[in-house]
Amino acid sequence: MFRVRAAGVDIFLCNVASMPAQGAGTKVAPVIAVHLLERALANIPSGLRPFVLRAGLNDGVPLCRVSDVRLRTQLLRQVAGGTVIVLTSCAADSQQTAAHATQDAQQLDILREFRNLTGGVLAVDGRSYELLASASASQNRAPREIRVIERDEAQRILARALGSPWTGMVLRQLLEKVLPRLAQDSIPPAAAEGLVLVLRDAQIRARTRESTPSSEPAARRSASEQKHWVEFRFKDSGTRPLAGAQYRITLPDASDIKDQLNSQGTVRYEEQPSGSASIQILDIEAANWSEDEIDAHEPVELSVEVSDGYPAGESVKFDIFRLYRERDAEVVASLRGRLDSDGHVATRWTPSSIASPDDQFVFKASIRKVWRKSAPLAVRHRAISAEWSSAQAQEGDTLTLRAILRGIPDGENATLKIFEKQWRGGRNTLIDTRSATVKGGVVESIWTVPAAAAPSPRGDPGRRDFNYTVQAANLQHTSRHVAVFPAHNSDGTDGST
Amino acid sequence: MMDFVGDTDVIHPEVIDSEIRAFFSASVARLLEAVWLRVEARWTADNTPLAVKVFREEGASRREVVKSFDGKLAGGVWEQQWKIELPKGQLDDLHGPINLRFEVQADKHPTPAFSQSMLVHRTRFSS
Repeated sequence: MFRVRAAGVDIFLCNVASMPAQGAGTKVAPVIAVHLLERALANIPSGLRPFVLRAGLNDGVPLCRVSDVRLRTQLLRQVAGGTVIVLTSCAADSQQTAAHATQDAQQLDILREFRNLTGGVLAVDGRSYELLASASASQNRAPREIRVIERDEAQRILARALGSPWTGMVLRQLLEKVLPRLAQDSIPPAAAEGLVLVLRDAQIRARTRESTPSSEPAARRSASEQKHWVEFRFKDSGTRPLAGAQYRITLPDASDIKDQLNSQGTVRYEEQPSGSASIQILDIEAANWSEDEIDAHEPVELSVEVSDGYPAGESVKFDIFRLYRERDAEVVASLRGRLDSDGHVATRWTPSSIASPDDQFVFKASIRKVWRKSAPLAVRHRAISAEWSSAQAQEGDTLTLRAILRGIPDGENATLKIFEKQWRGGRNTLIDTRSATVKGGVVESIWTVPAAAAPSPRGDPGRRDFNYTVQAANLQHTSRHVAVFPAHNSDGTDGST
Repeated sequence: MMDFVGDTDVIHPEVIDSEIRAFFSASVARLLEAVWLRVEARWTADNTPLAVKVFREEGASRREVVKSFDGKLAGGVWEQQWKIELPKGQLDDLHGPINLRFEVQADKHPTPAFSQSMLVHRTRFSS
């Protein structure tokens, strides 16, 4: 019940069942109601979104935008067409009445939001339930068309809907508001206060919001045409029922329904016209890397394709693991994306964002309970080699130092340190340090072999050995030795004295 | 694509092929090291009993079971930690590294799934 004040009196808008007791108010003629309501509209506080209820039906018109001229005209027409308005005296303005008015306003808000979110129908286990005010249900002009669900059963149905992965957060919040407002069981025409779930006859079953329009709506078909049923039973390779798998089914009456298989892996719909149904088990059909092998600094794309039935905007989780180290706690990176309208989502990852990226990786794509893993991706982040341009050289020769590093981006600084081997113990002597940059995974530098500080003793060939280390980012590698001999003079001597 | 079409008034039994993957948590390990055996299954009913056998490969046709486990799938996953142990007799007879794999047979499923090979090194050299 909703109350506004106009012309010095309180006006309660309500449906027939919640009319105040006789004597507490007066049902007014439509023409007076129109006049009073017209004056009252200006007094409706902002923020309230009440409904005007038409007798016997629950499809009210929101008054939330009463300043809208067109809506006001439509509203007034409806009032004139049978909206029940109860005019009460100020004496009826007790605290109890005010509390009821507030409660009813909340209830109407719930009903309106339910209709907005679901199109008026809550599909659970293949059945389509409507939510009505208890009083409205008991006043239904054709009570055999609906069956009011008992409170305990209604609680179970709502709990099932709340547990369904298809129930969005907003609807979930709304259903949580409905649960405590479910009416106690009562025998018509009596009606306890609150909300009830009702099940309608199949011919007036509403469609889900995504239903495909039918050229011959089921509601117009005769009941005799709809005594058929559809049943699918899904099992795994071991002949066990596949419980809980999500599906989307298009029924012979053109209903398009999303739900999950029951505990027996079965889906069954009755009261269908003769024909065929198509059902799709929702799955992630592909989870792929854009490459089979990459260097650690290169970004790689992770892409997922899903079957029809997932809505655009659905969240997809990408968990990246080292191959075989795939326990939940071992995830190395987690990313998220949202499905586009083609059932596709992609995201990018650069392996160098983690420690020790030189490995093989897989990713697990998940949409709620459905998941799929990719094939392995090989990631390289290592020093492959560090070579001299020659295994032997003479003093004064120019040598090229060339190291191959995988997984280091171009432009990264590298340091090459050249050491002389001390064969008789002691630490190798650092001879030279050269800087270079990585280009195409390669580090290059040239070095001219210096002459020995002192000539070698006669009879000693004067061989010296050098190696170098290359360091870039967190990679390091050591070359083999190059043997260096004193330069020969043109007379064939080694130049030593 | 898992699309199925069926007429009214007929029960349509459909089988979705199960996908079962088995793997050790490492491909190289040492004796007495703890590793995980993990089985991941899609389109396989929860609580499906699993028979798991760890075996030593000996050539292409011969194998020797070194450990067995029983388990059940839960949420599409079964896992078990195992400290790699081999009968002493085998260790005395064998030389060099040992290759292990495991097989998982889901109850009533037509074929088993196999893990990757795990190369097991001895903790110390034997003569």
